[in-house]
Amino acid sequence: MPISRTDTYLLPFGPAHPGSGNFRVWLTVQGERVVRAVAEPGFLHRGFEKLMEYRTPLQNSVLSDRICILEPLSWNLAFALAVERLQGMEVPARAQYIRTILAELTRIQSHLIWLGAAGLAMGFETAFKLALTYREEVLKLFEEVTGARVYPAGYIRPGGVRRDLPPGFPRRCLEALDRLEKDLWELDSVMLENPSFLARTRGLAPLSPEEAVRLGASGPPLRASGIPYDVRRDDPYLVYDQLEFQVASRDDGDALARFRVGRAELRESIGLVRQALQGLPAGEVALPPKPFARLPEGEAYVHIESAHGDAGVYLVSTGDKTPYRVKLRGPSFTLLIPVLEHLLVGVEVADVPVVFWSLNHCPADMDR
Amino acid sequence: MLTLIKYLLGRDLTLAFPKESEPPAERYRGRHVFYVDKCISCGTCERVCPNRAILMAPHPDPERYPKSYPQIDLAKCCFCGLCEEFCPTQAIQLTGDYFLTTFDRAELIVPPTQGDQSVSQKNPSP
Amino acid sequence: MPLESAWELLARFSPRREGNSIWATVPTDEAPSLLEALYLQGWSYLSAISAVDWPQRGALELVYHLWSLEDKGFVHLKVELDRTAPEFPSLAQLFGGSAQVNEREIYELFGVDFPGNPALGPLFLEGWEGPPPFRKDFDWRAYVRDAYYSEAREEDRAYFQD
Repeated sequence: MPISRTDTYLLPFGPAHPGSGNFRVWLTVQGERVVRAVAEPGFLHRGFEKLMEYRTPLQNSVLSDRICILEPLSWNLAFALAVERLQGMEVPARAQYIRTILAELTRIQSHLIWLGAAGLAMGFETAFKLALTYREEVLKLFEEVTGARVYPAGYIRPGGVRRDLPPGFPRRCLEALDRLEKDLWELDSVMLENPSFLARTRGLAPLSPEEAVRLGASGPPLRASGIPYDVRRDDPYLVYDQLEFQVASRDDGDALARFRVGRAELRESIGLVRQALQGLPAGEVALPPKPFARLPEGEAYVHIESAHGDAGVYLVSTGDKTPYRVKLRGPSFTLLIPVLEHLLVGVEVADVPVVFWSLNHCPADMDR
Repeated sequence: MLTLIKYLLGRDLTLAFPKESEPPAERYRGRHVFYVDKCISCGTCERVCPNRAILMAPHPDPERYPKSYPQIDLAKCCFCGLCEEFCPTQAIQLTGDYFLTTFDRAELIVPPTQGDQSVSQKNPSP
Repeated sequence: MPLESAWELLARFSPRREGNSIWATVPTDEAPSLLEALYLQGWSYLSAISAVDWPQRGALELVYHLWSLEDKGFVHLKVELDRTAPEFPSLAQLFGGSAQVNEREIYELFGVDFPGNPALGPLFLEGWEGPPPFRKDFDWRAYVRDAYYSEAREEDRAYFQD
């Protein structure tokens, strides 16, 4: 039976695709253009909000690593800040600086995966391999400080950090940052200023500022649409109000603008780590941990600028050892469902992975 | 073009694992080693473990060690090191050994016998 | 200034002010019009909707976390629903896609109906036939034990303690 040109078919851009994460989008395609996109989340739903109700705060800080695999320390930090706000704890200054250093290093390595995966999405696998090689610098630093390359096991915990920095760390970190800067120039010339990359991303899937706000976008996609909302500047936590940095933003709102925002944030993050290392005070790194103490009654909502956007934790306690309710606001929840479904309409099938990866998302913190 | 030459003629970026490997960092959280003579059977490790990987179990030699001691299930363990941190006598410590794969699930339940002190922190081997 | 005008709007509900956040519990029948008034004041960014189950009070609480891009502050608006038949008018038309997807999550996990939401349906769970799993009366541990573990196996023994 001949198939007419107006027939549509259903194409799953699915979890086993090399250009997608653990996430599926059902694309209704007509010819080569997507007519409708329906997201199907839930492949990584592990029920963190319920799991956290059965564990004490210290155990929960170990669990919070695994909320988003690409940036475990950010979620450690978000949870720790929520518990500290609830308990009214004052964390020592040295711990705040160490946390800032680790949070910015996490942003650097997460953005490197993002830009590398964007290369992978376009078929430019070499860029992916290069980006992951650069990321090794940061993972080696994490291994030195937290004890493991990816999962720090609650290194940032309520009250401070688990252990002090190893001796000689500031010097090694600064050397690693110098190497990273050179690596990023190389990434620019290989990928980000590459004419093919520019041709594929310029003008692709523009997101207007009004739609970005209505659909709940945050992080680089929102900033690339002209709204410079960055929690580090607008609602400062840790020591960001004492450090100098620019909030990267663009006005075009297309995929290229989002990648450019990511690249600019990498530069700012390297500067922030250098400033924090310079200003690192001496002193204690944590309040004494009390693993079996009760939480006070009350509630707290805390948000941070994680690598993927505005990440929030809403903690409710009724005075037990374990929280009563932990609600996690994952930045990718709104990025992957309403924003993606909106942006994919009218896009050609070959550009779908590029649009997908331009959003800087993490299916893990969508599903939680 | 310069990038191509740099990587073509430069040193390899990867190691031929497992023949070549870099030693893990000093703080690396790998397999546990348990010193039964230091243990006071307080049970803190069992209560603090986030995944219930530790159960206080009887020792294979009950005449010499009559109380209960931590039995660790490496399949449930997430290697967070809370047991090491909160043990009052440092009877549980985490080494740098990360060669933990096995074909037999039963091998992963480590009984509370004296830990293997020959495991070196710096150079684990398969 | 959105924070000041929100404070005035919510003054008769004895709100609490903490730094740049306003917390207020408002009656359910007035909540939709209050949310619309807040939207018109400039609170157009709905960060998240949380749901907390309070079986002791017979209530299911919804918390709307609104962020002001202009004033850099939060309004956390709480609404208490009847736990036996919880429902609340959808804000998908007013706030957009962010409200729609958050309501869909709460519909699936807590069983709250949002009339007016264009696409309420399963989100994370696949083929789930039981009660809304995040409610306090759903015994997670019993379900997981029955479905996945066996007391006879040595390695599952830990899950059957307390």
